[in-house]
Amino acid sequence: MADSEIKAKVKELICSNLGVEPDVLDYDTELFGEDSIGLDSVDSLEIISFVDDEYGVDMTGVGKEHFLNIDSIAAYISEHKDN
Amino acid sequence: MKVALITGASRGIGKACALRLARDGYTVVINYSRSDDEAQKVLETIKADGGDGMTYKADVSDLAQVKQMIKDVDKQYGQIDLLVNNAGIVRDNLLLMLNMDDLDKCMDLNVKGYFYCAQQAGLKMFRKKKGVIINMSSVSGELALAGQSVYSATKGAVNALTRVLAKEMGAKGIRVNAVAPGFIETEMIDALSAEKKEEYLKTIPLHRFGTADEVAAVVSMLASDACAYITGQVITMDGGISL
Repeated sequence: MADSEIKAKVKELICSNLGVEPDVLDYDTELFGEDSIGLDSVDSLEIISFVDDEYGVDMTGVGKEHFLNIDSIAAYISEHKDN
Repeated sequence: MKVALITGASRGIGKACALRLARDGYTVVINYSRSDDEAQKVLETIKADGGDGMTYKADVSDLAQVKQMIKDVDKQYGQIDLLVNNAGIVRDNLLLMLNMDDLDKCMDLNVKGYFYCAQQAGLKMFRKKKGVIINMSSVSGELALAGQSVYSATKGAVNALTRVLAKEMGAKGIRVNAVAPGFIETEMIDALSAEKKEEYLKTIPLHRFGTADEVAAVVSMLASDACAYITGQVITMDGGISL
């Protein structure tokens, strides 16, 4: 699966399950923290669960730097999923 | 179908939980670390009673093994509805006699192992937005018994872990509770001298030791929908010793 497809799926998850409007969410939009779209740590559980379920990639205990934005989440998935 | 994973289920309280939950209709995963024959016997008993399940050998103090176990169970059954964190060890000693290897082993299994299993099973429950985690604690988590500093500390940690996880995971449909038994008739009690047993019995208002089946009954109840509004609680069942 290409990175672009992964990014699109992660974006869809964030919009449909976490209540974020698609037009405010680009692939490099910061997800967590002060200048972000305002996701919180509980929302990160939703992302971890989705990534595990959809790609079989375990993101439990992974550093915050991999959750910065959709780009970084997709990069982690690409790097760790079985091809 | 509902699937229950019980750690340390080849004997004692874990075995009783496996047998009880199988009778409740759960497909049971009997985790164990060393006792192949005992674990197999538990499974055979379950199957002879018309139940179903599997044994799974894994050291739950090792995160890699826990991850593999949860992955394999999920692949086999497609769900984990109930986790009973039960595997644990006791290494009693007075502080100045304390062996630091024993301290590490107790922390690794009794505390870290609970975290590992809760995290990995919780991940699968999270997907379904439903699940139950029951942590085996002990009355020693609250009661101060000389020589039990390490065990008490690990069970105190389990109680705290139970409350915090209940808060974190409640909104996602996952309940987390603990059972804190007092003196239970297991191999540990069997090993005591008659004098020591009598000494302990005098401190218990009900004047008897509890049974593993009684602990399993509380686990069964907490896992059931009858307790659907109970989370973050440590249920003490100790014959009144902590009063």
